[in-house]
Amino acid sequence: MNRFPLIALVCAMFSTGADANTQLWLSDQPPDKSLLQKMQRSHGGYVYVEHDVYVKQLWLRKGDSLFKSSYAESVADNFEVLDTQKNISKPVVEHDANSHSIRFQMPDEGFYNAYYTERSVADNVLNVTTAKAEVLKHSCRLGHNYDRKLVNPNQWADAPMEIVRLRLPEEDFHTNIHSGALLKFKVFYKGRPVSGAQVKLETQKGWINTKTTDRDGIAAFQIIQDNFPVEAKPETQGAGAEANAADVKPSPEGEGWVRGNQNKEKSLFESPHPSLLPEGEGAHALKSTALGSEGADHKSSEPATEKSSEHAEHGSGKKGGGGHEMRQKDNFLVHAEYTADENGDLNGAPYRQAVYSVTMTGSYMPNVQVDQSRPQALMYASAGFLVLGGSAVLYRRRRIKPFKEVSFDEH
Amino acid sequence: MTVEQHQREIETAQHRHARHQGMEAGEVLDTVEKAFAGNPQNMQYFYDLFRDVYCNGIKPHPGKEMIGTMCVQIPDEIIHAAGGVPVRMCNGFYTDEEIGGEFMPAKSCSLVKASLGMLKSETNPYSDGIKVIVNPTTCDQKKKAAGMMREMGYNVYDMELPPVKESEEGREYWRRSVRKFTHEVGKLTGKKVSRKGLKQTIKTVGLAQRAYHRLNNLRKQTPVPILGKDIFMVTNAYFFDDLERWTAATEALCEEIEARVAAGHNAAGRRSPRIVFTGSPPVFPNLKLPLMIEQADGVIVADETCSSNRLLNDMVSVDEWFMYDMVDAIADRYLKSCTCPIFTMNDDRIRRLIELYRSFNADGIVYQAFAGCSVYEMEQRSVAKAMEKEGIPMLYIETDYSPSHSGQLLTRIEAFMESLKARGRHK
Amino acid sequence: MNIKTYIDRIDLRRFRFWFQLATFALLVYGGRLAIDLGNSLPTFSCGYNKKGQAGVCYLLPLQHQLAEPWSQLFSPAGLGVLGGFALFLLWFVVLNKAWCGFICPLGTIQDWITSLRKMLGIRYSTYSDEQFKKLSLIKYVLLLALIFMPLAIGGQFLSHDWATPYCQICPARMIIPVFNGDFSQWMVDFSSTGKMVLTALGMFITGLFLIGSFLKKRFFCFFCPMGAFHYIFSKLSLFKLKKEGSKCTVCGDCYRVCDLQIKPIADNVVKKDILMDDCILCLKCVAACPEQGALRVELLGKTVFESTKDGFVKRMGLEKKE
Repeated sequence: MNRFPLIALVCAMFSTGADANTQLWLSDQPPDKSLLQKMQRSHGGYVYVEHDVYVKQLWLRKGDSLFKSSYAESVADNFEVLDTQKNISKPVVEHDANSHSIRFQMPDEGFYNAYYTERSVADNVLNVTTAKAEVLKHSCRLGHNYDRKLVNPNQWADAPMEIVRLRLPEEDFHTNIHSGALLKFKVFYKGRPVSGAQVKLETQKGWINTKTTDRDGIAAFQIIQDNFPVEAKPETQGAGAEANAADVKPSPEGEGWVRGNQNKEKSLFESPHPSLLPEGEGAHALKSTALGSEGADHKSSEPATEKSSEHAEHGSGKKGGGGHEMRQKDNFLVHAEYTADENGDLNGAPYRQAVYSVTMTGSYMPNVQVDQSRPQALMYASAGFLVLGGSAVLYRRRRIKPFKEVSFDEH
Repeated sequence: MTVEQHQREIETAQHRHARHQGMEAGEVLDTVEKAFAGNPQNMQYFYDLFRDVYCNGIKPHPGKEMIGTMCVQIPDEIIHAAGGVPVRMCNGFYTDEEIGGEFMPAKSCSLVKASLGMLKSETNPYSDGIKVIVNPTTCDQKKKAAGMMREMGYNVYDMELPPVKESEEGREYWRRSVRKFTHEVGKLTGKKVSRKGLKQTIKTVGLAQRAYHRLNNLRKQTPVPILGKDIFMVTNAYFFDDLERWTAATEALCEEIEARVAAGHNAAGRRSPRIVFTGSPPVFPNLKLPLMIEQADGVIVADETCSSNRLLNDMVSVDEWFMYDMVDAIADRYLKSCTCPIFTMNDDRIRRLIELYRSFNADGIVYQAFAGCSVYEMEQRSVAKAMEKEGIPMLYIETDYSPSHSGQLLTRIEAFMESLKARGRHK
Repeated sequence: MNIKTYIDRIDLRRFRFWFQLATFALLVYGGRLAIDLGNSLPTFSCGYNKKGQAGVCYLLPLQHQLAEPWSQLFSPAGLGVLGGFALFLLWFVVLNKAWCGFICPLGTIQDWITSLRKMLGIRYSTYSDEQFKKLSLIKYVLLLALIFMPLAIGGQFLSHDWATPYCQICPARMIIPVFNGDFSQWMVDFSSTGKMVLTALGMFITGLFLIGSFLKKRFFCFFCPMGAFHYIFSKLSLFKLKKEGSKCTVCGDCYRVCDLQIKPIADNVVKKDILMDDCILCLKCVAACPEQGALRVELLGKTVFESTKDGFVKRMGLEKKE
């Protein structure tokens, strides 16, 4: 029922590519957790409600990966907000110690995009970094008869580099992305779709896949099914990766997942950084991960290759899927980069090449299909049908025999 | 010279009985027809019917096999569907009562005595063929009469009626009785009760009931367009008349009475007290009390008796037109609303009387009980108390079929009428 | 013929058939025409029927809202729950339990299954008195469960796997989307214990529903928590079922035709407001009563439809001679 809003973040790439791993993103989790009390959960994440209008606050963050980060300060407050009617405006920027954030109102239903742009020159290379956040404003109380066009992503034509997640078939404000779903991202350079851009999708657990955009500027990824307790051993990496990919119907889009190095030291089930948790489900997600850890210790064989229904049979008293994480929303980070031949100078620093990049985050859930069983369902339904039907037939038969209840044949 | 010697046949007991019966019937019919002015024309059919059957010895169902019923709870619809002709055996002849008195105890119900007496004699309207007598286990005397009927050589079917009608067990017991009866009667007549047939007879009986209701509702009018004695004649004819013929005759009567209503005709006197008649059933020719009441300037506008209103009052309601539902629906109709005093509780009867009193705008109630009828006599107490609480005047009369004491009775009735009239003036 | 007579003589069966068909089409397919009657409907217009729903059964948002964290629920922000409830009451008060007898899509489906059984000539089943008394408590148990389990979730005693517990076991969730070609609810969800238990139970109950409503008229309505919920507020309604005990001859015709086997409708001659907790206000009893004025339906105190001898005669087909 909840749709996780896409909270964008920007990967600010400073100076050289060597430091390419440091990324920036925006999150709606405040540095001071106590502020969450004043906020309200909504379909677009945590919001303030002021005079019946949702107000979104996004903080700038930086780090190597989704699970290793800190708050950041912006350079030159270069924030923009695109509203549902495609009007661009400047949000209010708040400067706190060690963290900068923006606030903007979301009066209408639809998607609001926030952008942060940084430019710098290093080694004759211009680095233009854009961070994007896509926030959903939707309230069930307003009903569900909204104009379906509002579901479509908005695009800022003036963005130096823009990335847009194309919508899934029949997507609406309530749609969740599940493992196995085919995500398509379209990359724009100076307002036009660009081919040959490198797009990297990284999941919260550290699985990374890299693709290049095609002629239409689209890169497609099949989200990995990575919610099984796989031991983070280098040897098994490849096997695990392939096995996982195998689980999720390998297709060109589904292949190519590798394990990022960052997450090696951490236990797979370390609670993800609270900053990345959607909508305060932190408490519940934490609980389920705690359970999941128990499962990991229990080590239910090769879970990666087994279906969850079989898990249930191996159960050994474990809850439902026998050890794999249940119902957790994970985040992913998509980062697109394009190198262009441009000449010019920025504040006196000349450049002969330009590297444009843009980032955005989203969230995804385990594939429900794997957890659902149609045959079992029909079995239970038939059980109910036969139990009652059978007893009725037996009852009707029996009441005639011993007591000779009088009945009629209809003609 | 030979004188023709007229051999006067010595009258056999049977012949004498028939003659007396004819006389009794004739006498009552004369009173009914001639003692009152302005009889509706369409009543002639009914008067003639009775004369034919009881005075002139014409058989009501020549050549057909009749199924005799005692009491009002036997389902007519089912008998009709099995191709039989239901005929109510409850008898009102003093002549027959005397015969019955020969083998019944002295202090017993006149109606049972008369019915048994009729069955004993060979000259009764049904003597050409009663296939079976269906006798329900209602009051003690009717129950024991079954044994006596068997002794006379009749085929008697005991139909089991529960003494408690409110309980679920009682209802189910009666439904089983009726279901069994449905099979049995089919075997007796040789024609199985079928779904189509039963649906048809429910409709036919329903039409008869509808005709009756149409007629009965006209008695709510002020002034009353038809006298109670005529209604008794109509409903008593239902005992033995052919169903469709009876329905047609009643419909014709309705037309006439409706015209009377439009013309503002008053069948009774100007200030005739309106009476609700209840208690032991007045069966032709024992219309002693009703006739006395109406001759004493009263008019019976409603009745709560099993020989009149209760025969036709309740209509069968079926949800699914299948045997399993129709038969149970019929069973329910005959049991649930039955106000016969043989049941343990009589709340329904009291409520019914109060409702009749109100909706027919009556002035008083006359409660008849046959001497020897323990159930009606015992129930009289609670009914009297309830009527007193409601402020409804009631006259309780204990009587039997004998023509004696009629002078006393008439005095009492006249006094009651006077008191009602006085009450009416003070209202 | 004035309008009152016309209504009193109405062929209730036919009227109900067409009315139910229309409301079924409205609630199950109305969403395709962008009809939206809101989230507070007092009937099973299933919220899982995504493609065609014209409004959502109130029990779904109720369970959602009650599962909010207690800090939110019992704060001024939680007053929103009362808003939804007020709207529910507003819808309900107009028609009382006629929502069940004339509008509920699940009820309509049961009536269609009953017609199927009639066509096959199979006898219906009934409950004995004992069974009736015991089984009639089930709907209250379900009602309490659907209120208290979400509250337990909000108070963190139960995990979110147990969210919307009643919707998981309600047969409407499985059956109504089927009319839009959506079989996605016909599954058992193994992602967690709670989900597994609930969805398996839901499928079992669906099987029970299909055979039960074949054998017994309006089988599910006897166990319906929405019905129990209605009954709590039925006294407030503008639409009432009234009985005039003095006119009743206790003939039991009304009890005979009652789908829910409600005895007091026939046996109770004292109570005026005779709508019982199982009643679905299908008005079959009023149509089957042969006594003038014994049973009637009132709207705002004015009699809308009452039992008449004339109407009874017409409905039983006794008007014209064969």
